[in-house]
Amino acid sequence: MSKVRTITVNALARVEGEGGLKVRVRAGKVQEVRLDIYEPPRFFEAFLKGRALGEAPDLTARICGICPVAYQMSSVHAMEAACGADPGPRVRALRRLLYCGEWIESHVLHAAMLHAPDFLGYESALHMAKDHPEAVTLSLRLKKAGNEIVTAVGGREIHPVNVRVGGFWRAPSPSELAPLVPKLETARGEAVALLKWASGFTFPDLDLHHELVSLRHPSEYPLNEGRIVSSEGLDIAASEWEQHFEEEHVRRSNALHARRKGGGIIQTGPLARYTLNYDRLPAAIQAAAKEAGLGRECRNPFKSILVRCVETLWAIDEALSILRAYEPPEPSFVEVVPREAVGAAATEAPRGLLFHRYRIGGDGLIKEARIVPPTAQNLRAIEADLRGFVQNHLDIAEDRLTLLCEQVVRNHDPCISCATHFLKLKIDRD
Amino acid sequence: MPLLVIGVGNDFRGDDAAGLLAARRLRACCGVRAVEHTKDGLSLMEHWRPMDHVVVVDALCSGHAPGTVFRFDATEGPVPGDVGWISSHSPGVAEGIETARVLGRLPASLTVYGIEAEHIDPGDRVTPAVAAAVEEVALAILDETA
Repeated sequence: MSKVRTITVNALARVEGEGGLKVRVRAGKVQEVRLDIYEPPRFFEAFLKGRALGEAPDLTARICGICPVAYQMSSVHAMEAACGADPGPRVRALRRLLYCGEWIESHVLHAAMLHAPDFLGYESALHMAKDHPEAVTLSLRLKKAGNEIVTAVGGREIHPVNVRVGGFWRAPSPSELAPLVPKLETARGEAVALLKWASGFTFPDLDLHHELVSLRHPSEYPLNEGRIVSSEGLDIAASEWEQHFEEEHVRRSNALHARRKGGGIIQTGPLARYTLNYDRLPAAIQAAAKEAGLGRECRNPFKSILVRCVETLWAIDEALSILRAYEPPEPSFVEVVPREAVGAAATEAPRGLLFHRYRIGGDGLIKEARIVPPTAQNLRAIEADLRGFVQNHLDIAEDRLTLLCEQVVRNHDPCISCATHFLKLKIDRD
Repeated sequence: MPLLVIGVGNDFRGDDAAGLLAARRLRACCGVRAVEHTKDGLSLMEHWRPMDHVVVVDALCSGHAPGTVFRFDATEGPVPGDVGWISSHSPGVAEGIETARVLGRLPASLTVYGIEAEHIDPGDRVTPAVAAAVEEVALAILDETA
């Protein structure tokens, strides 16, 4: 065997966007882990300058075809914070319903179609479908239920058009939303079955201690508001994000890497939300998590598939509860009067914390924009996971190790398209 | 015969709009039941029912001359996945249709038209040869379902 081992994946499959991965091993030690992000930079923050504040939700939604609602939610909350507007509880409930739709759709797509094949040893969902037709059929129906929420509230499945600063262009009538209830009641059973199916997978050991970061709300599981907390005791307002975190440009990557000021690796997303907010989950969801083998904390990124399934179940229950109490906001939005101000907000995208900050002029135009997507916050954690995993599994044959490395990346459900606002793998070892 | 045309594509990427344009054309001129699909291939099967005769139109980049039309009979056999179907959301059209086949969810008949694209970058316009091919495919669909 040569002195050098290189594991290379030139284009990672089953992730959103384009990137590659290279791991270099010398004399039994992992020397370098590089997540190369070659999807071009997208300059959203630059071209938002000079646009009207009301354009932010539709422009930023275009950052991602999987989680456009997250971008819409963080942008409208930031604009309303800047201008001192409060759209009230009915708009809040309708926004949460829309966001639940996106969580269901995004989580099921990743858990069942992109991540599950890793555990069962299939190249793709298509290959998996031959042996697991029931699970694939059930997941497609479940994902569709999420799509239908987004369509009913947002006007269409991708890049919904009904969200505006101050509320919604039009509030759907109760009769328009009523058909969602029986569909979600069916979806609930399917989500339980999906969680049970995933809980039977074999999970490699990996227990990591990055600083977990998520929103925390006084009474709710985090979604569209709350303070930013961490496993190291951080507890700040969303507007204080930039005082405690920073992004740096890394030469190999067209995405910025975020970290805690002072150098610590942070991790956002399902594991962070679950571990930091287990006590905010309703008893029925805690019981389902326990049955699937999860404790009060989950720090094994391979088990993120279970947490996504648990969160899907939570989102279905939350959506049902909103729908059963639904009263349309009248009017469907509040007027937001522009003023010279800075507004920031963070919401929980399916992949984790999504921070937006805007400086607005008295003319209502955006003077400065800052968008920090969850994948940019997780890139260092993904590289650290790979380093740890490869170091502990150097005895594994090349092909298998390469596959496992890809899986380590997919554990985080990275959205490269968002982060360049990522994947190919190369392991170089002796 | 319950004909359903599914146009797949992206309006914001030049020739990748070809499938969408074909669906709109058939709906506007002849009242054909036609839907526009902008999502991943796996959700294609959500559009059809078992008795439907389905025609899917999408753009591809195989290296042939722009506007070249390909026709695949998916009822007869697998749709080749390696001919350059364009998808910003993997899995694409071929994978979606083959998953439906594995799950026993193919409609009564399923034909796939591929239109060779030239320009597919964000902001590109539809090239004349591709626009002409959209007309050609629309006519062919009407012809074979008449």
